Amino acid sequence: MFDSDFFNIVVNYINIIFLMFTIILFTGYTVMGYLATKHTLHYRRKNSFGDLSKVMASPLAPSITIIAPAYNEGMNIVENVRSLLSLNYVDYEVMVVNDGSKDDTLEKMIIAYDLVKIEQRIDPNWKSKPIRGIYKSKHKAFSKLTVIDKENGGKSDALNTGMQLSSNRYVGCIDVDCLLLPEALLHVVKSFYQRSGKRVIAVGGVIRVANSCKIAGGELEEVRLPKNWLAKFQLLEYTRSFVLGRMAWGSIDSLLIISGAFGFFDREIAVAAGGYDTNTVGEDMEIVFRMRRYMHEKKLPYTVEYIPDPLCWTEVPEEIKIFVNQRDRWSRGNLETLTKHKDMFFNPKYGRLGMISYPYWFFYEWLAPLLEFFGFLSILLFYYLGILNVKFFMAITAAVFSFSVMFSFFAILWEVYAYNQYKSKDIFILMIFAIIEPFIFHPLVTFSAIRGNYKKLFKVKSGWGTITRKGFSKA
Amino acid sequence: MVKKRLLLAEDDELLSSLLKFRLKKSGYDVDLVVNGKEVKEYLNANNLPDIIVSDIMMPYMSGIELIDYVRNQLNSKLPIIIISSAGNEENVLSAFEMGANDFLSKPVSPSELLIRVARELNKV
Amino acid sequence: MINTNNIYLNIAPNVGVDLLWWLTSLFAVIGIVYILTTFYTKSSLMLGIKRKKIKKRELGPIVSEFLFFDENTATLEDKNTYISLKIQIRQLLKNKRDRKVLAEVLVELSQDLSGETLRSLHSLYKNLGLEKDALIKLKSWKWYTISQGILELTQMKVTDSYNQITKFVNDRRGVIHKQSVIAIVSLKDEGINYFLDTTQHKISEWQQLKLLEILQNKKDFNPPRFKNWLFSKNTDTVLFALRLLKYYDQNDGNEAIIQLIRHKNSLIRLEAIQCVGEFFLVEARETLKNVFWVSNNDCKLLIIEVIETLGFKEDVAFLKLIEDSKQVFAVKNKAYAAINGLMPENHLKLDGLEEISSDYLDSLINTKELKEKEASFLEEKISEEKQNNNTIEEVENIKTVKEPEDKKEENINLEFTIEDIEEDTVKEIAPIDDEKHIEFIKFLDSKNEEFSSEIYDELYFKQDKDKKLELLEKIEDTGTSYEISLLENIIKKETNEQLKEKAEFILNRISKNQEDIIEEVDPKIIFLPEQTVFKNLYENCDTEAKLILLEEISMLGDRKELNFVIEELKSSEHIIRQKAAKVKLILEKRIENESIEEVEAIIENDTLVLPKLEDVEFNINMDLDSTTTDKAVEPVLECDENKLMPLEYCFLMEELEIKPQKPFSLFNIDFELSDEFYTDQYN
Repeated sequence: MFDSDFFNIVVNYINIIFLMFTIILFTGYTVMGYLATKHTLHYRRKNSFGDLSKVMASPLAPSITIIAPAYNEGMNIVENVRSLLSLNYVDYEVMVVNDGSKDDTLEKMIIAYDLVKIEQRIDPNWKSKPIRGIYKSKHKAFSKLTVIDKENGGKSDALNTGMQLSSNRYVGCIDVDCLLLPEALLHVVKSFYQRSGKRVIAVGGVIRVANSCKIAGGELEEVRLPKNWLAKFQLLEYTRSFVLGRMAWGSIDSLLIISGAFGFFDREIAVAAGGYDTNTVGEDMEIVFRMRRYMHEKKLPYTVEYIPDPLCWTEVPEEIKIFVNQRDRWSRGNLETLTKHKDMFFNPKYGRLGMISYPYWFFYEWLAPLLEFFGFLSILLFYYLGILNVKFFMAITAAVFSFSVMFSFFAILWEVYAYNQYKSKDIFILMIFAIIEPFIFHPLVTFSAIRGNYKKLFKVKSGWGTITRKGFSKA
Repeated sequence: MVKKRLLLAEDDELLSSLLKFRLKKSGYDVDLVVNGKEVKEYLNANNLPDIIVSDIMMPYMSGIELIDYVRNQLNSKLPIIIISSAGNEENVLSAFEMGANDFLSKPVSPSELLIRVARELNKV
Repeated sequence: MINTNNIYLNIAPNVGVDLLWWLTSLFAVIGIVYILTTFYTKSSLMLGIKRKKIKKRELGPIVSEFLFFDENTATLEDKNTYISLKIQIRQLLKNKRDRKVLAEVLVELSQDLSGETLRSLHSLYKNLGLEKDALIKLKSWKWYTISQGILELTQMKVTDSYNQITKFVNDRRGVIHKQSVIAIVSLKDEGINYFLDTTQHKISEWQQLKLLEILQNKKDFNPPRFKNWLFSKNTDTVLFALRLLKYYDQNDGNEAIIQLIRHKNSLIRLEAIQCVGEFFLVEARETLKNVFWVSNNDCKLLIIEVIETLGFKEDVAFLKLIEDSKQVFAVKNKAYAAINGLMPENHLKLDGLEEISSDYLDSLINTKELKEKEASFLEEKISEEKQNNNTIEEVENIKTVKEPEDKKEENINLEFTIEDIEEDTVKEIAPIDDEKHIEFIKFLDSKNEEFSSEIYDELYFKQDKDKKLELLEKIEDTGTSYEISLLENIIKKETNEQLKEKAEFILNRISKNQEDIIEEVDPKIIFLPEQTVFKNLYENCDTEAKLILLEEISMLGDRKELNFVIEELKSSEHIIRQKAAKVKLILEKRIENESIEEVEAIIENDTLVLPKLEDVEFNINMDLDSTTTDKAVEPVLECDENKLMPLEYCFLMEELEIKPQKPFSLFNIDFELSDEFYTDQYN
């Protein structure tokens, strides 16, 4: 009995830590919900005026390059590019970067769009992988299309190539297989252009789940709830993170991530900050970190905008294996980015970025899954040792569970208010999924995160964890 | 005089009812459809109208697809007038390539529409 | 086991547990509230949409009836329905909600309609007194309501509300002031003036875009003179005024534009530079060049573009300078493209001439340095160092002599060279001290030392890829017919695709340039060896012109004209025969007198050894652009102190009819020249 005091203290402390963490979490998410609500209302009111389409032909409208990296996309490349070429905007260019595909991606495009190689002088100090050729179409109808054929170097390298070859004011980095609504570029231009005091260095948008939706001729005809269970969970998750999370971060100008599937950048700043990092799998997050740091260090007023309108639709993975791999990669990218910019951690020099955004990412995006995992292990251990405080355990589990379900419901409410695209029945199904999510989907996410961290932290050091991924998967 | 039958495909309800009213007043027999699906159903269920006036952007079937359907599936040369929204010049071009006879751009002037409709019908 | 468990349960943080359970129930309650709200929202949204739809369906026909009602054509029946509708709508207007829907219907329709119908829609709106509601909205304290009111008044073209809206132009709240600006600009033509005069806010790009769109859609709009705002205190106003000026093609603000090129705001600078290109402001060239060096890359690119647009061949020197200076690739590339754009046919020629001007002087200035590095070369020449210095002095003398005589009909290129020497001697010469450059100079030297082509093939193929590329680039810049065989060899033997392509590209260009030069030879540069220029002219003209030409010949002609004149003595026309006889006498006399002069000596040589016209021209070009050090050094080796005159200066002097200074032995110089020609030509 002599060590009961010791156990007592340890268990108590552990409980207190869990309690604190949970309370902060609740507070954080509540504040997030509040900010998102406020901002959504404001945004909707502000944008109820005016018609975007009339502006597209203006002589003052800026030029945009859409960079779509393609790796082994032979299956759908022709249709995907055609849909990109039919956006409602005048001054834009679609630059497809064929990243050394092993299939017939390039050949298909050459045939479908009647491409010919053109001469262009290339910077002798070229940093990206060598370019094999630049192609343009012989047809006037496809004059917006440029295809760049280069050696394989990964997604970041492909995007960098596009960025350096573009001469337009803004560049958009998108996944070639996602569906952009025709008015997408108008919204993007508006976001870049409506600020007057600050320079808008990047614009991100919502990614919506396109699984099971009816898409015909490159247009979204009917929004439907995904049939697949995993996709349903992801839809719920995307709703939470885009409708509430990013909206809230956007409202306090602390957005740290712009999805690789739909992100637009001020080319000058992006290039000046060094473009995409080719050594990380989380390049879409890393570039925003770097561009923000760049502006901070130059002491220039800037902002990152977020468009809540549903402009970009993408298919989410429906198989567990692909899904786990994706999340695994995300958490590795997260860790890499956080490590690379660790000097921002609670660094007042970076303002909100250092004091709020970075710590949030550190504690709740990176540390939380680890804590959960080890918390679960210790519960098992405590139970085995017979020192589990069942009362406390039950209470805290119930609280966390009810909070997470409530938060999901809140997100669904906003989804209905903001978009109202799903039927009542589908909303009901989503709610049921929100209740079972903590038991099925959440463990899967946590597991992926643990796997990613494990890979990154241990295998890299032992020498064979270098990035082997040269293609890029979805979302 | 037999009334000319006109098919108006336009998804904006207010505008379409207004145009229908105006066209009726000028002595046309106007049938109204609001989307691509209905256009197809109408064309299959009835005799072909004397002229079609269609919005270029419609749910389920765009104006261009409509022209394609009429020209290539139904093999008809009946006049088709396209109403396009501003800044959609490229679509208008492809509409003409598909065989549209004339086009008007939004915002629409009803009196202009009447003139065009009369002109196309006189040609036939 | 049970025992211990109990102990821990007792010590457990009971406060925490209670709090957590309390929270759990709270969240559960909120969660249920959310569920209910969600479905309520959903149904009310649907219901709202439905109700509005029904209302609109109901109102639509009424509105149509009103809009298309025509007193003159209406039947009695029509009139009756019209009156009953009028009563019905009066009834409707009493209800606030219905009034709102009606206003919405009208606003919505106004976006899709134009022409006569739109005008009657606007007057219907006013007749129904709906604008009063909108005007009341302006008095609200909610930004949202005010903006809505302004928007409605704008869309329904309620011009009377103009004065009430102007007070919002400098409102604190963003949405309101933006909306009100759009309103006043679209309501009245003078709105834009008021806005530009009074606005204190920043004008976002989006706002500018929208305002321009409104102006574009105005019929019979007579834009104000936007130069009046080019010096506004609000930089955004300046920027917008510049853009409008450009859009409306108002060319009365040129001076202001040139001043704005120096503006500290980079966007204004960019816009002003664009205006320079647009309005073709030739006088801004110098300002552009000055601003270039302190601008960011976007600005630089634009400046190069505009300079190309202005199209002054003199600016090639400036562009060349950019290409040679430390700039990012995009800028250099642009400069390169612009040079080609400015001088498509003449690129090589000018290039070459410029090259000597810098390289030659370079070599003079850097002789010492060069010699330190080129050990073998140095050994032979230590004794001549003094003489080299001499050369500089002499060249300088020549320059001073030449200057005042510029008025002579000179070749533009040569004039250019002189200017270049004058201005650029000290500051603008590219540094020559790195090893690669020296190596390259050696490489170029080789061909003047009668090396066969194999030798510099060898020189080339020994290099690694980067060096090869560098060499090719150098050849691209300075290349002449010499390099053709080398390039051909490279194309044959080179394994690297990139280099091969490059070589092909250069080869094409060089041979093209050669052709161009042949076509373009200016006969006045060189004394013509065989054919007289006059012959072509002469053959195609009438008697009077022929007489004039003969007169010209008598003044300018020499030996080869003599033959021509003698032929003309057989002319069918008497008057020409007479004139020809006279000219012949004059010419003969002159040839005698000049026979001791240097010029004559060349001609004498010409007839024996000088190649054809175009070859001479070639040689000049080759010398001018290819050789660098040897130009200064080579002659030194073979000539004595007095014969240090480099080749191109001989030509220059001939061209400008400058007599060399005293101690020159003319004959020797002659000899020098032809010798050069020989070696160069068959190398």
